[in-house]
Amino acid sequence: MGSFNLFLQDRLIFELLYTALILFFTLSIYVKASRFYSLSSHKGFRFFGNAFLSFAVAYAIRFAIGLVEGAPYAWILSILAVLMSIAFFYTICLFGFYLVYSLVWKEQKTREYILHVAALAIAILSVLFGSEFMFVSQLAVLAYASVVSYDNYLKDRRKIQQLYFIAMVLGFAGFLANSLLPIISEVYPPFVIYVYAITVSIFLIIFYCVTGRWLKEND
Amino acid sequence: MAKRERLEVICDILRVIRDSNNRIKPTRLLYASNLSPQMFKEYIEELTAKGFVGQSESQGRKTFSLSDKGFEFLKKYREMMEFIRDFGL
Repeated sequence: MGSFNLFLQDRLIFELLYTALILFFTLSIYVKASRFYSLSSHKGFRFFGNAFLSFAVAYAIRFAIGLVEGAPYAWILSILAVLMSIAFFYTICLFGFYLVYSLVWKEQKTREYILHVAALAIAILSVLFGSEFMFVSQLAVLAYASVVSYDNYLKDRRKIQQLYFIAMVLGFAGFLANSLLPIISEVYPPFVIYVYAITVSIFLIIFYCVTGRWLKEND
Repeated sequence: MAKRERLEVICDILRVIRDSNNRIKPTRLLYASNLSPQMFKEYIEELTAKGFVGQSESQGRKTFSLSDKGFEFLKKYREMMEFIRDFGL
């Protein structure tokens, strides 16, 4: 409980570090994928990169929401908080949709704007009726992504494919833990730290998978 | 023989140019690329538009050569293909 008390005392600093870490991992992945896209025009790179860019934007918004919520109450801030919540849910949903689309775009040629329309619809429903809409949709897409990435792993059985599959399963577990956070933290407050640890682990694994070869290449 | 992916075709064309002392005539490149004339035209137009390949003319003969971007593509090709395979893109 000692570390949890420290977390509560310095919550803002902790949130800032946590957000900075997520932004570093996700934006590094995005930069790598978009470099490859600009060189090859292979759409898979673009969809993959867009997924992580969306997550980075979502986490930047999440941090800003935390600041607005902490500010003295004013109607303009509450309107801002609602708009920011829609933007947060929208970008989080885009992350899942783009991630799955990067895996299936060759077989299922959906028009890209449909991903945005679906994400926006879920975001509005989540703000109006509760975040369950976002969680259910993202659990479904991450379960699907886990199956597809496992199938991909079975083809070549490479280490990176295995790690990516693990990251997808952790992603599913992370969204599940996030959805249960309000209930579990009632009885066990430090649970929030585990959720943060899972989230960081997911992006650390994917960051390693994406940049590992590049680091070796520059040795 | 399995159908080549788009990136494989691009890589094959660029390799042929590079391995011909970075200067090759269109007809030789067409034969070596193993594409139909129509497909070859589309790929060459794309590669030229992207700045991978440059065209020059000397003594009335047109030749193709790789630009720095074309060499960079070849250097990164293997890494890009591994990325596509590992992440199922």
